[in-house]
This record gives sequence, C-alpha cells and structure tokens, in this order.
Amino acid sequence: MKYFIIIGFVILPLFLFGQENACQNPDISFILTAGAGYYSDAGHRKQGGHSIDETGFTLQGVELAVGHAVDPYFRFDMNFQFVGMHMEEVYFTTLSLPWNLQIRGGMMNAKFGRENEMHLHSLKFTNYSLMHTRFMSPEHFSGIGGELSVLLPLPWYFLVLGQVFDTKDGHYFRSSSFATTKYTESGKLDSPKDLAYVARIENFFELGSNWGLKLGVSGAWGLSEYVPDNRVSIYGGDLYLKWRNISSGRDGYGFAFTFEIMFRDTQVPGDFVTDWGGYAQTDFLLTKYWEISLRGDYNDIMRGTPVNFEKMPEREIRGSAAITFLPTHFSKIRVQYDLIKEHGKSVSHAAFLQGEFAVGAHGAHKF
Amino acid sequence: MKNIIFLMFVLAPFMLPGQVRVIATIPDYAALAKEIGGSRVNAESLIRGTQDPHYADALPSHIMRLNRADLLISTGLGLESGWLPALLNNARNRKIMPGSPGYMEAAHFVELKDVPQKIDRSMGDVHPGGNPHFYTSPPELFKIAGEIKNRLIQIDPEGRDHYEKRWKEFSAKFNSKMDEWQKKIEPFKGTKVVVYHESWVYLLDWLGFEKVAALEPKPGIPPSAGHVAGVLKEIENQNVKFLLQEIYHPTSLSRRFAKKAGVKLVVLPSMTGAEKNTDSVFDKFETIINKLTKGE
Repeated sequence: MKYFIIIGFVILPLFLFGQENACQNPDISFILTAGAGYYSDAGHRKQGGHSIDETGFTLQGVELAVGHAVDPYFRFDMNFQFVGMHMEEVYFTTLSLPWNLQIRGGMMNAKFGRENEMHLHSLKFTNYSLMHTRFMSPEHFSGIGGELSVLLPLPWYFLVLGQVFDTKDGHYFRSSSFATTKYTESGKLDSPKDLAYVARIENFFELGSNWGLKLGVSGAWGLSEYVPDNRVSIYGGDLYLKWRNISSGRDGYGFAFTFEIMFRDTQVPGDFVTDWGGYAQTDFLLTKYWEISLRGDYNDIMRGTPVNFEKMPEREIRGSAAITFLPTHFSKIRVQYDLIKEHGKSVSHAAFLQGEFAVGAHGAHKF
Repeated sequence: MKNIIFLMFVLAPFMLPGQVRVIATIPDYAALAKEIGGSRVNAESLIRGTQDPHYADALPSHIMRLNRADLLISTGLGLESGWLPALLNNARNRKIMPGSPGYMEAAHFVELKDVPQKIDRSMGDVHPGGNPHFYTSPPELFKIAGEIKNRLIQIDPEGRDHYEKRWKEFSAKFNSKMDEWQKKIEPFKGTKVVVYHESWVYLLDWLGFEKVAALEPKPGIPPSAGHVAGVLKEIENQNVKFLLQEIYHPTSLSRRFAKKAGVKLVVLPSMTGAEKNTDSVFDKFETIINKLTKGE
C-alpha cells in the first residue's frame, strides 16, 4: 500500500503538469497486461512469474516504466511492477564514456540470451519459454549490480559485455539457477566468487536491405544451492533472423525466426547434473495489425540425477501458437493455444486470451 | 605481417579522415546533406524511402552508424520515438547526444501544422508536438537544408567556404525549381483530394489543394468499412480528384475506394528513394508534381 501512495505522489504531478514542460519530464508509461486461461490438466506444472498459470482470469502485470536522460552523461530507467509490488529494474546508464564503453548500474536484468531482457509486453506469447523459467527465472534473472560493455570498432555490430550481481540474501537477486549467499559455508558474502557473473558477446549482420541476423553467446557463473560454496555454470547461444519487406514498400510484411539454447552444469553432492533446454520461434508479420507466432519448447536432463525434480524436472515439451491483433501501437489482443507434454504425464492442453494496453509515452523497442 | 594487413583492412573504414559523417533518420535529410556537403560529407539514412518511419526496426547496425556519426538529423515530434531512442542510448557517441551541435531535430526549424490544443490517445496516434510529415513540403525542406548548412559549418569550420558555395548553388536551384513546380501546379490549385494518412498537410498547403477526408478514421487507425462508406458518402458531388497515399500503406482498400468514388489513386513518394528515380529531393518533388499534373 505504501508503494501505491509513494508512486502516486511522484507520478501524479508529472501527469498533471507533464504537458506544460514535456522536455523536462521523464517519459512515463503504464502497461496493463491481463488475460484468461484454460488448462485441461489442473495439475500441470506452473511457470510462475507473470504467467497465466491457472484456469480463470489473471492480472499478469501492471507495469510503470519511467526513463529519461539525467544530464549529458547519464540516463535513468525504471520499471516497477504493481502485480506482486516489486521493482523489476532501476538503473543508470552512462551516455558518453570514451572508447565506446558503457556502464550500467543498479537493479537490472541479466543480459543473458534474448528473452531474459524482454519485459512481458515485448513477448509474442502470453508466457515466457520453458527454458527461460527453468534456467533464468520465472520473472527475470536479475539483481543489483553493474555492467561494463564495449562496442568494438569493427565493420559490423560486435558488443562484448560483462555483468556482476550481488547475491546477498534479501538483496533482490532473482535466479532459477544460482543461489544466494545463504548457501555459502558462512551464509555470508565472503569473496568475489560468491557473486554471480554474466558475460555476453553479441553480433549483428545486415544481410541486404530486408534481412537482419543477430547472434549471441552468453555465459553465467554463480553459487549452487545444493552444496555450500559449490558452483553452477550456464552457457547459451541465441539467433534472431528477421526479414521485412522493406525495399518494396510493404514493410508490414515479414517474419522473424528466433532460436535460443542453454546448457547448465549444477554441482550437487558428489556429482554434476547437466541439463539443457531451448526454444525455436517463428513470428509471421501479416500486416502492421496482425501477427501469428509459433513456438516449440524443449527441456531435458543430459547427465546426472537432480536433487530437486521440482526445479529440474525431466523432459518437458510444449508447442504454442498465438495470433495477435494490434489495433495500434498501444494495444494488443492475443489468443494462444499450448500443447503440453510433461514427463510421466499424458498430453494436456491450454488456451489463453490476453489483452495489453499502454498509456503514456511510446517506448522504443530493441531489435 | 598477415595480421597487420588484416587489421588494417578491418579498421580501414574508420580511418578515413576528413569527411563529416552525417546520419539521417529519413533519406530526405541525407539527400540534403549530400547536396550541401558534397565531397566533404558522407551522408546515410537509417531507413529507406519505402519504409514507414513510425515502424522502423532499431537495428544494431544503426547503433554502429550512430556511433561513428558527427551529425544526426532526425525529424522529432515523436515520429522516430519507437526506434531512435533505443539506438541513441546505445550509440556511445557524445557528439550526437541531444544538446550537442551534432544533434539536430528538423522539427525545430519548420513551421509546424496540426499542433493539437488538447491531446488524447483516443484521438488516434496524434503527435503532441504537431504533424511530423513536413518533409513532404519543398519550403519546409528548404528551411531544414539551411540549418543543415549551419550545422556542417559548426562541425567542420574549415569547410565553411565549401558549404557556403554549395549552399548558394543549392538554394538558387531549389528556389528556381520551386517556382517552376508552382507554375506547373497553378492550373490545378483548389483540387480536392482524399488522403489515406494525415501526412500530406504540408504538401497540400503548398500546392493549394484541399483535403476533403482521410481514409484512416483517426491517425494511425486502420480504415474500417463503416468509415470508408462514410467517406464515400461525404465526397459525393464534391468533385474529388485524387486519393493520395504513401508507398508503405496498403493499396487494396484504396483501389476499391478509388474505383467506387471515381477518383484516381496516386501513390506519391513521401520520402526520397520511395520509388525509382527519386533519389534526390529535386527528383522527388519533380515526380510528385508530374503525378499530380500529368497523372503519371
């Protein structure tokens, strides 16, 4: 409740007086995401986070996004989620460091793969991939920390970045894979190796006028929750290929193909467990107003025996199809069907209806 | 040795000194920078003339272009708000950040139209600062060209004489062309038109044409059958001659509307490069005038 009051006091004057002096005020937007779902198997495994996890209606998210340049040197960005009342991200970004360097600091999502950076409203489905939930987090693999990145002076886009996150218990560290310092020998942050680290390399190639290909590899390292002071490593690769019919003037038509894969090594008592997962997704942009998306999810254990089958279940398969209608930049209506196959269970089905509505500034979207 | 040659090859594009690197969000500003800058300027547009500037992708390759730019020319008024901020925030180039001489918003140098007194998204995708499609008008584009000249001189003072000389030549040619285009369009003044999207207000004012209706019920809202039927009724007996639209809007509905209404559908190049032989601003307006006067 106190969050509502504080944010109300901060935001209301900006809305009231924002039109008068727009250039001085931050860009503010609210995004409502709500939906309804049906599951044929009420005992299905829940994804958590902001998914529609049960038959019935769900308020998935009410997000407040605020962002603006602080001065010529820094930018401020914040995403606050009213559903669950938590800060999703709040960080500064440097704007003018030399040598193509950039630093971000604060609470932020790990730049691991493609999906972990995406907020709910950027998805083409009502839910995140199974891989994301299993390896990253039901919400986002995120925490308080810092990031250093460099754009290499090459003829194509080549970004190298590293992030470090504080893993102290109760310090907003969110991860499905990594433990907090509660699981160190002393139960405290003893050394730099108790922090969580992320590294990523990102490349982009323009393939003619209509094609774009983005390739990334990521790695993350941190504490295991199964044995004090033991480790977990995740390695991932991602590919995003997009075609838009730009050169002929029909730029509403196009398609995008996304493929993301992750491998995780988890140290458990006397052993390592290796599991992996991935998804492939194709989005067909039929016009500016209609999109069809298809996604195939797969997770499984490669080696070893998990300690906790809840967190590391055996084979999971899911196929999803979604149709999205976008009346304008600011609203979306989506229907989705999921076919689910969990290990040891028969095939089940799920269907969703989702609406998304944004007011305020129109945020820019990454590629 | 091989490694050094490879490194030189890789870094060569970034070691060419002397040229001012201009990045424009739309091709018209790049075309103007080329006209005024000549050999001292390397100008590129982030989007093509065939693209809808509201819906462009924030390609990472654009981040690289902005990273190396000396001057960024954008439209402003929120036209590029869906993609430019994501690029600029990651470009790591202080020379083109807002407030620097290398950051130019063209909207600050033109006479804006359709500035709403009251704004509400229920009115459609209305731009709070005014209509951003001023690049369809020769006089407004001419004002922008003047500011591009000023910025080039500020960024590259050694080239002042070069820019002044080219500006003189350009402005003489552009003004003479504007007179020529006005003469050609004179007999057609007062022509009534329907537009697909509200992007022609600046051009229509300059041409002396009259907009009777728009196919989009509100800016950015796709035409509905009911609204189109209403427009058909509205324009009955009004002697409307043309339906004007950009290349990036769908033509299937427009064709059906044009046939029913007995008007001619004319797809105009709103930006340079939107169709063949429109790579310069002169060619663009020549094509517009020819299409409207000769029905080409």
